[in-house]
Amino acid sequence: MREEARYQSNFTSKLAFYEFPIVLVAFAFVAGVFYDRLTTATPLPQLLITLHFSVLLYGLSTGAFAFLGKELVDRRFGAVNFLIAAPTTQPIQFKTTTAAFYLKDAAYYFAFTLSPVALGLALAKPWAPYTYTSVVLLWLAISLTFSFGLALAYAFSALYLRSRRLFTAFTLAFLGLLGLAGFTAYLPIGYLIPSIQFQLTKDWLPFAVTLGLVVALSTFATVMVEETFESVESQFSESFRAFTARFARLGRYAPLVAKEWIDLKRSHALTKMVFSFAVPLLFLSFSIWFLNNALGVALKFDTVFYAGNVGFFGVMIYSWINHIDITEYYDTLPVSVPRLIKAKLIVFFLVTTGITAFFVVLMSFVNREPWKLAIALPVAFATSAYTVVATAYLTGLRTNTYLLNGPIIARFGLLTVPPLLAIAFLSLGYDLFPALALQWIAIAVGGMALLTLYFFSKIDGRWAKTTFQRA
Amino acid sequence: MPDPIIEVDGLSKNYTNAQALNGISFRVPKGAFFGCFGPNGAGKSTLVKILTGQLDPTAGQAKVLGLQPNAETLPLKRNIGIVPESESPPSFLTAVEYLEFVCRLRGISDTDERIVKWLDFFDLTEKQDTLCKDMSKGMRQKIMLASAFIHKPPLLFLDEPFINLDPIYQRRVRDFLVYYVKAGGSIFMCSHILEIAGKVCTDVLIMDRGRVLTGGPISSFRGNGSDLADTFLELIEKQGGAARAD
Repeated sequence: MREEARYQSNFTSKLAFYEFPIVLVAFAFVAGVFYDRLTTATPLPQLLITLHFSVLLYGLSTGAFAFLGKELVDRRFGAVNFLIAAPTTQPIQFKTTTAAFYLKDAAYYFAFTLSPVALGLALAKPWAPYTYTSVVLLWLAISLTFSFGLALAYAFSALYLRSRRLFTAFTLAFLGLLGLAGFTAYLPIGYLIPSIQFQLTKDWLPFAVTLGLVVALSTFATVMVEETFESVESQFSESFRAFTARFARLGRYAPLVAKEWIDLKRSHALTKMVFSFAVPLLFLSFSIWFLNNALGVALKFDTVFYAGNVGFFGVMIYSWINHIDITEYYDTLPVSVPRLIKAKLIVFFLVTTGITAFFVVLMSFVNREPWKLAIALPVAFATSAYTVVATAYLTGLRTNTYLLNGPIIARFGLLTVPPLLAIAFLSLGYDLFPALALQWIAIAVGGMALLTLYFFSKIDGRWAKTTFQRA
Repeated sequence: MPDPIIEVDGLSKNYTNAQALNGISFRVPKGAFFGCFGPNGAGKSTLVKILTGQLDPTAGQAKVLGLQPNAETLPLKRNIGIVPESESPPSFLTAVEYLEFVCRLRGISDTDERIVKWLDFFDLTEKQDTLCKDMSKGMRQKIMLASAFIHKPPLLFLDEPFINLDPIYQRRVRDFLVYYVKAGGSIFMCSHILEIAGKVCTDVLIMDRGRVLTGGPISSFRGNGSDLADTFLELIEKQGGAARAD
């Protein structure tokens, strides 16, 4: 935990590290105060199931520790070393440090994300009709669901490193069980994710079962962690010159973009990025479809809604691009931080434009509304450009770190959530008031385009005096 | 004294919990092989970072090649070569690609000729297609040195340039640096290897705890059977004793 706190507060401050949970408390408090309205719009059981699905996704997305262990050893983090890499020099097993890393991350997420949410809801109690006991139960239940997702991802990632076939088989089996739970009466969803059963029935047996599953999956994953991390010497024929020529029309950005492009290819990050971009989108689509069709939660979103989301998820790609390699050597070269940020933005657009268009077109056909593409595509590109340029303006080259900084995440929320919500509401109203909605969508797209240019022009001023050093 | 290529006046740098530099002043004459020495924590690397525009000073000012490092960073970096304290070429470029990358960023035209020259110099031709991340520390250091020399700058900043190099390449780099100074270049070097430094430096600055203890031409440190290493150890021990007495 100390390592995590020091790493995350490395570029900001200790205070900033602790501001992130404070922001979460505030958000949960507001949700608690508006509990009545929320439960009027969506019945409580459906709201709880949706919450558990989100938390499960959160756990799954943060749980790939076995991958991470290998990455941390394989890749150089400049001057930064983590305890997980200690077995390379110390008489300690990778299994032990990986398990410790897992427990540390679990503790971090409980302490700094799930508990603040429960605290915010508890603080809102005087204005809300629920009891403190129900807040405690919710905290226990979502902690369990999160742990389940975390342990599941940990186990699957460990399995993946041992056998791709077994990984595929288990993943398909889990998805099959999810389908069985959603669409048949043979397997209630609470049986597959017992913490949901605990939440809905307050029966302690499912609680114990989930706990047992978490322990079993974590133990299995730890046992499966490999002890040998052989370093392979990779060789590649010269291709920088060809890529620089390919990007020649980008002028002085050409060598930087060529270098970033080679990084993407050789680190295999391109595949992971496409996955990290596509998986949340597919999961979002699947969740909405699952909640609609399997669990009867009434949510109806159209292509324009998905277009807004596809733009928003682009932040993850930008974050990935910033996380592939160290940047300290740029301090020895005549390159400024703003110039590299802009080069990375160019790479972002090269990577995402095709995927964004593909996903929006796909969703328009899934929703049987291809005529909405004329609206959805501009929405997707405007949201994508606006979100990523605002993120680059706010976080520079350290997106992951700064997005855990309270004031930065608050500003990020203020800049990105209102346009996203506006697009979501306008997309919901489109079928009722098409002309009016279209007019306001055009205004939103135009506004985002102007703000994109504004933030792009401000990147120089904000980051000109920054160096490439980590600390 | 020839025209100074580096001028430092009352330079201070404070970090949150420490003062790295405490109002230091000195000049580096053009054409000097200037050695900056001091124990760990003396403030040498902070000084290099300020002089190369990587850090802003808390107080005082510096001029390098007539430019202010914190205000004219890019023009300065175009005209200097930097070898940082820890070797860190990009992970996913090969040796030959990184040198090509550096040449492109520096607007060099005769790229091939220069790259071949430096790969040969460091015997990296066989490893030229290996990713930098998969190279040994010594090889990475060679790449950083080559990338600092390749554009023939008038001034080099070298922070521990001999670290991770075996004796053969230490000698080879040392000889190149001496030749470079004779050909009109200037060097600002920080090093702990006083045996090499004593042989090549023309001017010296000894620092401890952010202060200048002494400085001047190397000849003033020789004589009476002592050399640079003796003077250095004597001064640091005296300074340590004074600090303990405080």
